[in-house]
Amino acid sequence: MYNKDVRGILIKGNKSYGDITSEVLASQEKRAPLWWYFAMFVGSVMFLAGIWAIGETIIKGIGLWGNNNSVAWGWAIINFVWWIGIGHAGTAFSIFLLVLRQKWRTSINRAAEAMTVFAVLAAGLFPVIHMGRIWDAFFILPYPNTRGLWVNYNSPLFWDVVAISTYLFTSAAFWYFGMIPDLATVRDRSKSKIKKQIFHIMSFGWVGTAKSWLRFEVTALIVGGLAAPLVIAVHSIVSMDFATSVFPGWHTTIFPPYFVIGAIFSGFAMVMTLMIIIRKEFKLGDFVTDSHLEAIAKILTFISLIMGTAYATEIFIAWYSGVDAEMYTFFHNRITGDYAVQFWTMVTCNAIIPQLFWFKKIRKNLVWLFIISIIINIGMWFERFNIVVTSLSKDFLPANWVEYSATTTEVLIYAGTIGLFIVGVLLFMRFIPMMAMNELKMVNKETSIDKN
Amino acid sequence: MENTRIIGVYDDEKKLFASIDSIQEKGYEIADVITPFAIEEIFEKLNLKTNINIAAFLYALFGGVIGVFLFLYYTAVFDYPLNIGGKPPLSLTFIVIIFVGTIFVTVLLTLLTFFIRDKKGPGAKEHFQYPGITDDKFLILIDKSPDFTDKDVKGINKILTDGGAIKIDEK
Repeated sequence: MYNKDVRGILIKGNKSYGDITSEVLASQEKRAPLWWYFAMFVGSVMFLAGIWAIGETIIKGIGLWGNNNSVAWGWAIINFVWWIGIGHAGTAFSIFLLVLRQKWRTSINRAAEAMTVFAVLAAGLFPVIHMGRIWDAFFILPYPNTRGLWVNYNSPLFWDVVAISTYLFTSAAFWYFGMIPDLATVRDRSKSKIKKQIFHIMSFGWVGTAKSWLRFEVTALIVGGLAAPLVIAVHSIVSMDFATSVFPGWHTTIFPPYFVIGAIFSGFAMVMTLMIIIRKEFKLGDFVTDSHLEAIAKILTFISLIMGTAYATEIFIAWYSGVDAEMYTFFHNRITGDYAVQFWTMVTCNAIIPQLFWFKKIRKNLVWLFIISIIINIGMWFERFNIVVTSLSKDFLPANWVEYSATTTEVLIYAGTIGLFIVGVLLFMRFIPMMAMNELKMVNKETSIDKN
Repeated sequence: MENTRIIGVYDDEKKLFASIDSIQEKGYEIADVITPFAIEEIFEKLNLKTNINIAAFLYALFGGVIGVFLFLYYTAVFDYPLNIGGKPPLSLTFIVIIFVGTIFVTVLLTLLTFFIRDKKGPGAKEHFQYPGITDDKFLILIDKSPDFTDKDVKGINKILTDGGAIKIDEK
């Protein structure tokens, strides 16, 4: 049950409803700051570099990547899982906290949902280009065709297609749906005719009658309630891409919860990174208060402990199973051996450094919060590297053992997806209300007015 | 053509609640209430109900669970059963696809139901406009029936003013 005394004041400054509208929309109504243009330039250059690398891959083939017969999945799948993980927090954040009636979500949910949409878009690129012949990508869909064949429903890769496309649709729909009343606010405040017309189209004729609000609330709760199990299902299904195989290090029942919790871990860290930028650069400290960031930090501390436990469990089970291949993968290819650096980076970034959040001083320090949130996402990338590369590079047959390193093309594609994410988030910050104003107004009096 | 409406404009939802109670006590019918955010008390006071939740359940059951299962059954068991390692064509893996497919179908149809029932869509016309309704103003709308006498109108205006309306208007 929500308790305001535990969570503290959610919106500082005894704001009126009008103040909330003006302050949240200030970022759109004023000129963009210089750093925004600079970041947009950097993001666009990265994005264009990625498009060039994808073009090269499509024209010349997957041979441009470092993948080989043994390590058939390289950076593409690492990055795919990494982005999907980041994309998880938006919906997880928004929906779990909505269902649990956590009112502190209101300042953060819009940005988290936007992040989800761009991250899942970035993730979706990788399986498509990994097919090599992307013009045949539609073969994966079950449609009546001249071959008389349907797809293989027993394949986790098909489950992936269904789950990720449903996740992209549901997240984008939930994000946009929640935004309609705020788009109407922008429409009504616009002075420029063109802007008014654009937001008139985008706000779907919203007025805010009691009946509309009732339908809106019920629909949002239903869509949110349905998306919550989807969040769990999507990353469980992604984990089954690995777990249903027999590779050492992959064939384990811990994978679905381990992937889901890891995804939420990296996503929450990315939410923290973004909210610090939004708070600092758009001067929205009254809405994203210290207690909001502290709440995220506490969640990250707890998830970090689960991550540490999961890593220890994997190692223990490998030893306890007595299977040589499992023992080799964990003890001679991860903890020690060729990929020890990547393994220990993962452990340090995910299980050790976030424990600094036990100290209140660190939880209250924006610089520390920002740095640790970035470190977690670096650690989560290395986790996926460990899973994909260590198991594939040295499997049951020593004659097939190879090393894997990424090529420039792979690095550029990854950079391109980061560019896509940066550009998407920057456009969101500039042109769309960054916070759910109607929800902030809903919690304003109850949690903040006269308590400041 | 729509009736003229008496509009009470408020800047505080608590005052709005009191006015709604007074208007209902005097036996006048409230045509609509417009607010910048969702307020559950108003749903209760106006006795508003929606069946979207029942519709969503039916979509999930028939469109999702049964619909997706029948599609999988038709394609994988009836039309072209693939023999993959001797596994049965009617397999437990259907559950995964039915689970996700049900969510997809239900979300899609529930959203469509909202937009159709509420007459919302890209470029849809706002059926009522008044300054500040999506920002910080709360409105009570009362249909000005042709049967209303001057006394009725004055009575309503008085209730609205006494309830704390910052402005009374007609549109």
